[in-house]
Amino acid sequence: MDHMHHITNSRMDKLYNTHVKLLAFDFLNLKPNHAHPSSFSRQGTRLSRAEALGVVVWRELKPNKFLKFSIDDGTGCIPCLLWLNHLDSHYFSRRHPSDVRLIAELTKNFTSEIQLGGVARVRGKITGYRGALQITVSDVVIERDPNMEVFHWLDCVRLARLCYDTVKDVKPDNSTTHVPF
Amino acid sequence: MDHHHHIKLSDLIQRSQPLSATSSLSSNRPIIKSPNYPSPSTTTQNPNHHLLKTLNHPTILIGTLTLPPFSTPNNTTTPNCNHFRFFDDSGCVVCCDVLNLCPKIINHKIKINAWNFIPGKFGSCKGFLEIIDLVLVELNGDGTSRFSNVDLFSMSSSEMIDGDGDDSLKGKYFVYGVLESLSPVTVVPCAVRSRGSDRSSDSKSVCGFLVKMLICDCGTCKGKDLEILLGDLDERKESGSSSSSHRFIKPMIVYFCGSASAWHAVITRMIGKVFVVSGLKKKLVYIGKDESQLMYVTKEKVVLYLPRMPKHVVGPEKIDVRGSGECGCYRGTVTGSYMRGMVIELDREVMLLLTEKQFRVPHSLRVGAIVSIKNVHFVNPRFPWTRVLILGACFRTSITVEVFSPLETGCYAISHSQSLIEKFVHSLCFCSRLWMLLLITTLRRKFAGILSEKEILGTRNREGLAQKFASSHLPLSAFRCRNGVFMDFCKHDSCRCGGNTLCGHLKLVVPISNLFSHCKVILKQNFLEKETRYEALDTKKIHYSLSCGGIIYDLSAKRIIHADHIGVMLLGYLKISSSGRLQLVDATGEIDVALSNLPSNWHCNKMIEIKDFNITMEIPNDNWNQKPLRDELFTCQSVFSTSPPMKDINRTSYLTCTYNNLEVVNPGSTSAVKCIGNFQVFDGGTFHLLWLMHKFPIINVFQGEQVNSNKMSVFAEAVVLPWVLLSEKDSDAHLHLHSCDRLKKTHAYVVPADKEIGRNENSESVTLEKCNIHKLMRKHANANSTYAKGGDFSSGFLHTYSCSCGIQNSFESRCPFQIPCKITGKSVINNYTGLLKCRDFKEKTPGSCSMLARTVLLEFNQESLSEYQALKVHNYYMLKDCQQDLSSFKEGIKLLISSGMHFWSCSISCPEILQESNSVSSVQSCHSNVKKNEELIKIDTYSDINISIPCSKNYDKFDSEVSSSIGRPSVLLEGGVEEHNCKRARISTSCPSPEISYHDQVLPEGHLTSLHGLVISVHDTNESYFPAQAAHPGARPHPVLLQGKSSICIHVVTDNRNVKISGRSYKGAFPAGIERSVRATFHRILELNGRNDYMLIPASFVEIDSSTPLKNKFGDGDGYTSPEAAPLVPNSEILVTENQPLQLHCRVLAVYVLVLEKTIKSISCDPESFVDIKLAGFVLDSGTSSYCCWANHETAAVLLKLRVEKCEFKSCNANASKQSRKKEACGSTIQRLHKILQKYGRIVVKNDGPVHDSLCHDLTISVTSEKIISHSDENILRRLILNSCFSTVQTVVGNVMDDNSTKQLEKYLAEYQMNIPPLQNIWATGVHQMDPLSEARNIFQGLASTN
Repeated sequence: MDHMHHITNSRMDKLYNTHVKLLAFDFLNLKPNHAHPSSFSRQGTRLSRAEALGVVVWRELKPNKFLKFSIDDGTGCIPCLLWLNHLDSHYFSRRHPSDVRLIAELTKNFTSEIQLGGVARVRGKITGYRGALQITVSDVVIERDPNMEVFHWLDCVRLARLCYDTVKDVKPDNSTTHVPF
Repeated sequence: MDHHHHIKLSDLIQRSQPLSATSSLSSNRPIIKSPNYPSPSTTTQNPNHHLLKTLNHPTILIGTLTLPPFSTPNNTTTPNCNHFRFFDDSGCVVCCDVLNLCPKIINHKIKINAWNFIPGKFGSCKGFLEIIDLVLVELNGDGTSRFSNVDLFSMSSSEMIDGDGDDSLKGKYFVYGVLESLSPVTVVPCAVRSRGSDRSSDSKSVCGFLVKMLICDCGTCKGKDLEILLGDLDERKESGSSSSSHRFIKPMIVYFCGSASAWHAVITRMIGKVFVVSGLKKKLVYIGKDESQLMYVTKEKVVLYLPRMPKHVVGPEKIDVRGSGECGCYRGTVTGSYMRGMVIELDREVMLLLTEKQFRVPHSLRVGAIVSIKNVHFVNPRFPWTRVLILGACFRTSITVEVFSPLETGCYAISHSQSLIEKFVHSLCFCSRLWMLLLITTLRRKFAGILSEKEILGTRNREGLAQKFASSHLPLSAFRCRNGVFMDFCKHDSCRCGGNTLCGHLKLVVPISNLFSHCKVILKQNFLEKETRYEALDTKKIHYSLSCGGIIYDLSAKRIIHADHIGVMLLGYLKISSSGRLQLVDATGEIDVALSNLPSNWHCNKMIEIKDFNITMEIPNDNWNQKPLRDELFTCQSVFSTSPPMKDINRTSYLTCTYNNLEVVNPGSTSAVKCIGNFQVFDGGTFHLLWLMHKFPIINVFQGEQVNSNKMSVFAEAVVLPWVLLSEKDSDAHLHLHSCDRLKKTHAYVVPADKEIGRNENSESVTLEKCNIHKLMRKHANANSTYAKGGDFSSGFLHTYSCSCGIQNSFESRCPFQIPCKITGKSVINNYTGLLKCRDFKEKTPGSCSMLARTVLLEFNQESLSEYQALKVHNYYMLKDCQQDLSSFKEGIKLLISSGMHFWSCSISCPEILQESNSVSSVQSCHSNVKKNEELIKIDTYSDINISIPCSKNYDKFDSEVSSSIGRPSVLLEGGVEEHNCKRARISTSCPSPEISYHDQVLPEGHLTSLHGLVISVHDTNESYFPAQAAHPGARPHPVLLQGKSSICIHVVTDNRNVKISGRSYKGAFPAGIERSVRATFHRILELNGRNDYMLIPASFVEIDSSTPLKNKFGDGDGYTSPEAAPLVPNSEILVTENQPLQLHCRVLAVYVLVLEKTIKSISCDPESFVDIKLAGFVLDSGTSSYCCWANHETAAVLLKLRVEKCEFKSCNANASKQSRKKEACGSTIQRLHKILQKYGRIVVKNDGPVHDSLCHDLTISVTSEKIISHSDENILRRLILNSCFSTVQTVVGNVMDDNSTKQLEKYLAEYQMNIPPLQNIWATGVHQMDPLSEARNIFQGLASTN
């Protein structure tokens, strides 16, 4: 049973460190995992990171603190948070100062690139804030090719069907008991 | 002296043998003045050059050396040979050249101890003597003045002046200075005004040369008393004073004319020396219409004074040779002479251009000689194909031979003609001139035996191919203004005769055989470099096991080289070989051409020019180390010398380009050499519509016997559709006025249709049709009145027809007899309207009818092969009715296609549907539209004619009727399999003819299909592809299936599955370019028992999809791409297995490790080659999993954004400019990296942080040298790594690393105290930018098929 537990867990965690590509309606339906606050659950699969793409429809900038913005992919809006306090944050205090300065510079560039109407591809950690889901952004790429949106839609559908949904379908041996999270 | 043999000139001339008499130059006798001979090995590596035959005993010549005869020019514009003359008492005279000439020996008897003799005709002389060492036998006059330390020579006559030389001192002006440069001897017309008459003048030619001196402007020199100056010089020598009050700073030109012009050869050797010239007069010389120059001109009595000491020699100016046209001196060994001496190769790397016809070059400028060239322009052209230093000789240049050649090589002798091409060459700047000379050489070689010399070079009055071709390629900046010797010499600095060095646009035209040898060298160099790189991981022996059991080694030697990389363009004739392949042919060889977008109206046997192409070369692995590498790159000498033979060229090499990149060159045209395309223009008429079912490959060997290529026929199968197209030209300007007439004419067209319909006894339809046409006429007239008021005709026309659909519907529901249409296309110049008219149908039930299509066999003979070549299977074609009456043809008949018959490729579309497709609003509804749109775009690309049916219902009706006639599915989707006419095409074991006995031979059974997909591997196989058939154990395959040289196995991805197509390879069935990564359609292949196994049969035909993008440029890692890369379906647990190639759409998440080194040797000028990425490990995230992707230089450079990938799928201007900006950014990063690596040697960057977040890098940067890396350099590296994580989705092709490779990698990483991360390890073989649109389509089709 322990062995099976391990297998099931490993399968459930298979996507844990992967940036799953989710459409907004799917993302917004992720369930917080109370046992593991840093993770969220999609049909029983634990997730911690996500990638999304959509049109920037809202932005709010607190200079040197954060940039909040939302991206709309046609199925919903995903709130995103981009921290801008790298130089002051204790979180980065152990990092190499050059790296911190570079990251601060790069995020500043992201801030200027994220403009209303642009198509942004964001990648980062799935976090919750006041009960709402959001992406704490690690990096942003502004997509210039309009076909990227269509590709993203279809890719999300394909990945959901062929990969994300199938993880939960892996049935353990009949002789063992399914162990829920 | 007694032991010396004395030989006479007459004996030498009589022997007519190149000889050398240098035995007297023994070691016992120190020869101070004679420089050492260059050893033959250093002078030239040409094995054809032998040492001069040396007389084995000291042999002397005794005679007199004279100046060249002073020619009194009459009508000649250039004087004759201006070499010294030597004669002896035998009465013979020869041209000669003397080492270390002392003017004293002129006109005196000398004894020549060491010499070379080269027989030949040199003007009036019959030989050329190179005097190495001599002694003066007797002195007629001592040649000195009363000033003991000053030698004086009279230049006025051939006699030396008396010792007193009083006369010489009486000259009005003299100059004392140092000689800087001198011009060649020229003859200029001169008007001499006769005394007493102001207006009348005599024309007279003056022979002379200009000398530029820096003269002294001190009081003594400015004075008029030469004696004071000479006395001063003499005194200084006596007292040994080295200091001088003379300063040679004032530039002055002296014109040596008349008898003094004979002294040119002497003065040439005095460059840098100080002397005095007296007997001058001052003249204001007009060198242009408005410009005059004050110069000294020699009078009748000119005397040259040479102070013995101190010898003032102006050393070579220390110039910074940047190669931008600056003047300087060069000393080197002659290693080659090309183009009749117009190009002299020095030291095997420098090209001296001697194209000026006024220029007189010493005959002793032979291969092997050491020469000194003064005042020559250094030009370093930036040719895209090679690096070379040009020495451009201008009118100030002078050449002296310092050491005679010991080799038996010919003397320099150039003959100039008055042809147009020579004038053209002279009008070019040096870079363009060298390019032009190379072009001439190449064209002569390429078209030897095809075009005459006159056609290539032209004549005095007519331009040849070379000049026309060059004129069309050279920009205005390549030409320079020529003003003649006087102007160019006097205004040298302002003439800018160095010219520009920017000639990146000047691509080299190469013979095909040179191209092969060059590409081979490049590939080998590239291979060796990569092999070294691979050795680090010991992965060079990685091989891929294919599903069929075949093995392909990773380092298979197939490479693709882009024309831009080698900077060449091709010129040749486009022909069809006997095997049916398109080839580019010249006199040196031929190469297969994979030509996409070939229009149906092309003509073979035309001379074409191709600038943009890829060369794919495959060299067998075992061939790499056979021979040591020879330097066969595109050096100028490799082009000037003879072409390498084609015999060792592998025939698997081919050229890829699109038809749009071809330019037809017309060597016979009088004006423009190039014309765009050679399209036939559509001129209307009645056309039959055909649907091409199949093309049968050309088979050279039939049943073991070679087919005579002249009598060879090739076949295609077509369906003659029961429709004819009636077309008529619109007159745009008068359309609204003549609309009714036009429609009446349209009606007139209907008449025969009526008859035909009547013949088919369908009177009801006739009545309906007439009614319909009348209504149509009324509608159309209204529409045209709208147009007349300012409306758009085309929209009005289409609208009318669209409106008329409603009326027609009632009719069409029973039988679509005729459909109005509009005819456009690239071959249609004027507006045409048309009518698609049903020609043949039968009524099935009252009110509904079916079309009668006929299948015919088209036979193409040798003359009509180009028509056959342009045909594409499953395309519509139109054939003019007057050419062949197909209506009388019966099913299955054979139609002979003669060379005059032309097939127009046509597409049939509907604007309404096209508009609908363009306005796709949602993904869900786009499926069918995407298909149609795609088909329309595809058809439109290939077609000459587009038949546009305005009404969508008409179109649908037509399409469905045609589909049912030809039995095709409405659309053949990409990646789909079309089962081809199952009933007819099924091969079964039943014998077609009772006469043929098969005994124990069997035919495989199955359906014939057409299959379209992405080729992922092509390899030879020894495996028996013939399927075992249980019903016939032990049976042998029928011999017809065993034709062809070898068996081939092709792996294709289609419809999300891997299939294998195998069989005998028939060269005729395989177009050039069938290889990995192309999309191809395999027609009439046999589906075997499994769903994924197909077999090639003799009737199978393969077509490459023209829309397959051109392959990446050379060096993008193509050579290392895996042979079999299946698209990765997300469920990686299933598909990712060891050694399974995969393709990921992913993004870089982190860089795990990066090892950079400075490049040791770079063969390319590409800045990227300055940095060598030894190893890079990237963490990639595909959305389903993370991978650790290990990459070599090429792939890593792309992932690190050090290289901008060519955007293959889009070519809009915005993208181009963005790409150029990116390239600039890449260039600057690389430059910085290069500098960093220069400092530190090797740099290792390790990431000790978590690899799942792009912002969590914890980088450690270490260098191998003892230096400490600076903060700024460190920042550049950190920025480089962080930047690579912020990229869009890329497609990475690679292979899962097996245990052995992983172990090797582990070992390698251990050196850097690193472990392999706990991720799936992939060895990346290629990366490119993803095309979101095509990938989206693929996903959509995949999703749709799984529903």
